[in-house]
Amino acid sequence: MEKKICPYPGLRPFTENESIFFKGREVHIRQIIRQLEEKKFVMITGASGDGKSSLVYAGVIPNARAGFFRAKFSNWLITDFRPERSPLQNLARTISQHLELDAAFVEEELGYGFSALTSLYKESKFYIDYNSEKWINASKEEQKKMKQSASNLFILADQFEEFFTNSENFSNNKPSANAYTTINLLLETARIASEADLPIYIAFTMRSDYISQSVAFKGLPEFIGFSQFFVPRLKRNELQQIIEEPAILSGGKVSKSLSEKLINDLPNGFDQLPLLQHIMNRLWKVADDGNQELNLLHLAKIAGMPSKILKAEDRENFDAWLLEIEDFRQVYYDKPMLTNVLNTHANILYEKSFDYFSQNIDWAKQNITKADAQLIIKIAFKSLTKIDEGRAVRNRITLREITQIINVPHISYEIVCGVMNIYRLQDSTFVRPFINDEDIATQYLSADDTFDITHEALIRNWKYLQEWEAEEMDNLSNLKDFQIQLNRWKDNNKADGFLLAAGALAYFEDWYNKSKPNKYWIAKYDMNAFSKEEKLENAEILSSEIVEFLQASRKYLLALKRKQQRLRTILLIAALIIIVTLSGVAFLANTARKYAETQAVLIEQQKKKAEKQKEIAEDQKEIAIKATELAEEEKKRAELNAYEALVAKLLSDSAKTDAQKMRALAELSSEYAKKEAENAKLARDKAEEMRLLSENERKIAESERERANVLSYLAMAQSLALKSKQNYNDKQVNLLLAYQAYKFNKDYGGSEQDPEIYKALNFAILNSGEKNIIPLEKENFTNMSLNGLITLVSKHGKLQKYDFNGGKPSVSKTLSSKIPVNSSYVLDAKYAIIGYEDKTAYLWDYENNQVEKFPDYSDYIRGAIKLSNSTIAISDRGPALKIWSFDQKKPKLIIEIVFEERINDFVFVPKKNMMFAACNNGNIIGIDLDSYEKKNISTKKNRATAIAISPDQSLLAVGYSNGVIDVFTVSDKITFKTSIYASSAGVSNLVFDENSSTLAIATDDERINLYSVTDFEASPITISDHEQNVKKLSIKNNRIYALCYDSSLRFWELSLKNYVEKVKSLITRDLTTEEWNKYIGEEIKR
Amino acid sequence: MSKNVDTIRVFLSDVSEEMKSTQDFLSKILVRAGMEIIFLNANYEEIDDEILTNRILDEVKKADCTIHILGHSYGKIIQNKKQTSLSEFQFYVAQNYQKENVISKIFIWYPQDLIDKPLDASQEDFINSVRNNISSNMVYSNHESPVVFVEDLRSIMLSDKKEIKDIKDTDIFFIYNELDEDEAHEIIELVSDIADVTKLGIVQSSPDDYMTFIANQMTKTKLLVIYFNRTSDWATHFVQQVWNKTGGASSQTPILFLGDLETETNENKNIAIPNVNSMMLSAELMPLEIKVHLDAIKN
Repeated sequence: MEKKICPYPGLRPFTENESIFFKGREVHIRQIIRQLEEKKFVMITGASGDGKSSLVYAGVIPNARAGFFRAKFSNWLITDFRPERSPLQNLARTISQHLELDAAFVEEELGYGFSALTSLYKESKFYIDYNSEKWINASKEEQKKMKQSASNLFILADQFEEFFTNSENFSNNKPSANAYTTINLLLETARIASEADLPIYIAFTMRSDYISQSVAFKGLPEFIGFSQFFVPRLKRNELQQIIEEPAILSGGKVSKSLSEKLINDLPNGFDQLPLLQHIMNRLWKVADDGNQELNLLHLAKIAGMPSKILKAEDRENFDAWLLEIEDFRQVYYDKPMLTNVLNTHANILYEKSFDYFSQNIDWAKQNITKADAQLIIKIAFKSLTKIDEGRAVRNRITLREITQIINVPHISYEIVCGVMNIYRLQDSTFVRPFINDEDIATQYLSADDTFDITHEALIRNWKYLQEWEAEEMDNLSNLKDFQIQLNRWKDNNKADGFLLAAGALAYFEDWYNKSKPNKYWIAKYDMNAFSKEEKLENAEILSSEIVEFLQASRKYLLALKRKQQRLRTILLIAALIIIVTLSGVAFLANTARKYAETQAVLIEQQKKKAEKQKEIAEDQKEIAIKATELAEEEKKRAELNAYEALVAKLLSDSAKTDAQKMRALAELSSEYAKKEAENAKLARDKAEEMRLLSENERKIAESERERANVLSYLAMAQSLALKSKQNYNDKQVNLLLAYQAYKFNKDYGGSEQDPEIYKALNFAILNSGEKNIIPLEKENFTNMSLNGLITLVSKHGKLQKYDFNGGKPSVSKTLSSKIPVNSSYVLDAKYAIIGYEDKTAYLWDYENNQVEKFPDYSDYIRGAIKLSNSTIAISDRGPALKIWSFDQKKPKLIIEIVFEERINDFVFVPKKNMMFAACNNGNIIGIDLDSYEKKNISTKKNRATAIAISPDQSLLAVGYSNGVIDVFTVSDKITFKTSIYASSAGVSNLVFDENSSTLAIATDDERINLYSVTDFEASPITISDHEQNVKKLSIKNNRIYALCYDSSLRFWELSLKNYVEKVKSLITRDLTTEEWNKYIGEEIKR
Repeated sequence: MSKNVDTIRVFLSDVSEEMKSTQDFLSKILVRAGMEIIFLNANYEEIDDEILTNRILDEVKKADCTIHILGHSYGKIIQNKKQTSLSEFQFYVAQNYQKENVISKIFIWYPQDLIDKPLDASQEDFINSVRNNISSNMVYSNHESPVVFVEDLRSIMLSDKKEIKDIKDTDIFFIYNELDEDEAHEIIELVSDIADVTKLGIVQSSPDDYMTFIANQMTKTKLLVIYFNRTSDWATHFVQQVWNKTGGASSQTPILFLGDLETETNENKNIAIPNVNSMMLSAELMPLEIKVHLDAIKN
């Protein structure tokens, strides 16, 4: 079979050669051509990814060349260029090539601006001036030849926004001279062409978000106002043409179901067209290069799809295919969506890059590992994008520059080129320049060749690249923060006071060590310099300043630390001195008191001595008087003695005064010492009190610290639980992180049924390839019952029993009828009730394969319960409950109990011999089976959709269409207990576990919530990985089983502990130190 | 058929009970978008299948298109042979009518916000059957906004192809550039002796809408010949654009792309596109080559 040409270019724009497949834009092409015909100029604007370039290259230009453009001549010179980093040179290059003129001459001429371009054209051989002598004097044959070579001139400045995005063209809100001249030249050319009716046509394509910046170029806003074309949003029929017609042109076909699905699911806004073209390109390849009709099955294989949407025969094909693909791809199909296609494709190339390099690139050294290859891709794509006003945009960059930013000695530019080649293949075309399959030389690029991401849709839709960009954004933001601090330091003569504080230093050192910003990376974000050399020079200076600033800050902080240590020592000594001093004061007071007491004793002794001397002097006076009487000669001696005695007395009196003074002093000293002692005691008591207070505070602080520690570990457990649900290449990481989350939670007293830990463990198990689907035979099951075995009844009337591992059914019986089963209810190990689409109903003794029709019955059964061995209750779409006996096997209607509205669900409570019905009008009605009397239990506005009784018959739960569940206590009376709000979607199923301790709730938003009966206010565990609504929910042996709408039977453990054991059994290694530090943190000890 | 907004008449099919308010809302939007709505006025409970089919057909025939709103419940089953809902019955009547009347279109609207809701088993079967059997004149929209749905409907109804007028059946449709006019006329003169020829000379500065004419004439032509002598640049692009707009590889009319071998610049001007025979021949061999191709088509 002849290979068909793929008519969908993928992510890249259509080229002129591919215009034969360009569809859906006919009206827009005509409008642009009309504008050009009339005004000679058009500015084509629009959002990123709306096909501006394709519209010109594959629409306007080919139509012009084909003659569908009214112009003077038959031929066209198409001079197109992108501004890139040197717009004037690029324009000169294309003009010189097409006008067949010397490049240097053209560049010099164009450098003068204004009419330079029109002059070059008018003087070239491609223009005919019908008034010139040359034309008038030419023969008819010569004139014919001249006309045959005459050409209109079409100038296209594609991606005009590069005049603003490249700092070489536009910096500090000012255009460079080079850029300014280029725009002057183009606008003047358009003006002259319009005035002189020259066949020159000028078109610019520019992203509309740059329009406001055009004011920087004089005259440009006026021209935009004069002739602008805003690329319109595609209508449904235009999208349909884009999808279907290229395939038809190439001899293929797109199924209408696929076409409508694509139109319905395509995201609006940015990237609609590139995503669609990429999807179509992938579909074409999956559909055997267009040899098969492109259909939904092909889409399912590239984007995923709920299997219910596929045709029955395609479902098996898809399921089998899904099982065969590589593990890393499986995860992409979990959430089917069109944006998966690009993300999956880019990821597959990322995973296969190393193998591709090893097997296909023989011209580069093979001395790299898979990790090296993936590092190259990561840094290359980070280099191919840059952050512009907070958003990631394309950044053209040479192979040499990428290699320099990677900056790993053994990684040469050849290796970088070889690894990146997988993204340049014709099958992918994610990065320009593309590899041409027919020209092997295009595989190999020189170091100065420029790489460019084909379309920004890749940046916005490849999740890895988004993560890398977030990292890049962080790095850039850190660099800018750092520069602010660095400049402040420099502006203040590098003063110590402007160095980094300890926290900031630690932060920036960590950033520096992790991101290793080299000068090539820094130069990428230099928006101030125009030339590359200047940027590198600036970056080198900044790079060394960064190191200097970090080193100076570190040195200063070390010095400060040492100083602080010294200060601490001094303070310690001072404190010791104070303590010693205080002790000294007390000691001195004591000593003074003792000294005063000693002095008082001495004074007393001296006083006694003085009194004795006085007595002696008195005696001597008496002797002297007696002697006067006796002897005249003795008189003077006696008077002398008396005088001596007087002196002695005076002396003695003086000593007495001194002693009294000393005693008073001693008494004062004693008093003072006493007071000092009291003060010392008070101080000691105060100190003791303070010590006790401080001890108490220390204990509180210790307790708070412990509490904070516990909380931080619990928070860490939650954080790890979240991290464990991300995609890692090694699924062991998911298991290890989930297990570590569980451990932290358990060790630090977290809830035993913590919802996040539960989800993390469940995810890690499923992610590791374990399935929570019980394998059953392919049947469309209508209902399920769990007793000793799993019993299921299919749409075709087949009753099957499986053990809890699934596989082959141990029992498989069919109730033969050609009418499909509408509903089924397995009553016990013997009987089932089957309701058919023709509204008949049967009681089936499937043990003995006997069947009895319910007489006079004509409706769809909506519920059935066995009340005793001989009675059953049945509800249907009418407002009644019917109780039947089947004593003689033949069902016989006992009573029909009529309600206001139909019953959506009902339960039987044996201990009260009552049934409770959940009604469509929101009423909950109790029915006494002795008297068949009805009693209203509760009334609400919303529909009551499900009801359940706990196995111990103590709790009754009712679910409503607004997602609310009311819980009642069942005793002598039915008493309202509490309300839970499970979801904004309605409740479809309720079931209690066997211990009456958990209430499981299935809601119509594809979730199952597990509530603890003892604490309804606690956050529930939410299960959502089934992504299906639940037909029937049951709990058996601590497992929840859900029969889903896709007929799959899924299960989950009720207890988190069971998941832990499973996770432990799947773990084959420990977290490495690197992983521990990355996900948990170096500061957390193992 | 080209239409004005005023003349678009829409048959709005029956819906299940829960979709009545949606249907009502949509009908008000359709009216405000300038369309006329046709409902079925029949007591379907009391009539048999054939009468009901005819009554529905009568209304569908009055309309330019039909709208079928899908909800999550199947709706009331009517007492027909197949025990279907009225909305399903109406859909199949419209579908059968559309198979024989390609101008009529069927618009199915299954609003996005209903997609995730559980379906009645019968409704699920119906929706799956519709989804897997969408044909060329059917639109299956999931847009949540009824306004967008009506906008889409209107743009599709108004973008129907223009009616073909003043086009006659011809064996050969011969196109050339005015710069090659003299040589082209010589060949046409010879070919006219053996077959019906319609000719078209392209003048670059002409205001004529060549493409519409070419696309229409192609439908009545057995073989399209694009000839060039000194206008190879024009011709190679022209043939591609014609191919693009007239069905490409799937077109019923093949293209013969003939260049004059004796003109040096034509040396490498052969093109390889499916359904296009590209040849560089001397001018005198061209009539014979054209005849060979035409005979092959006729046989």
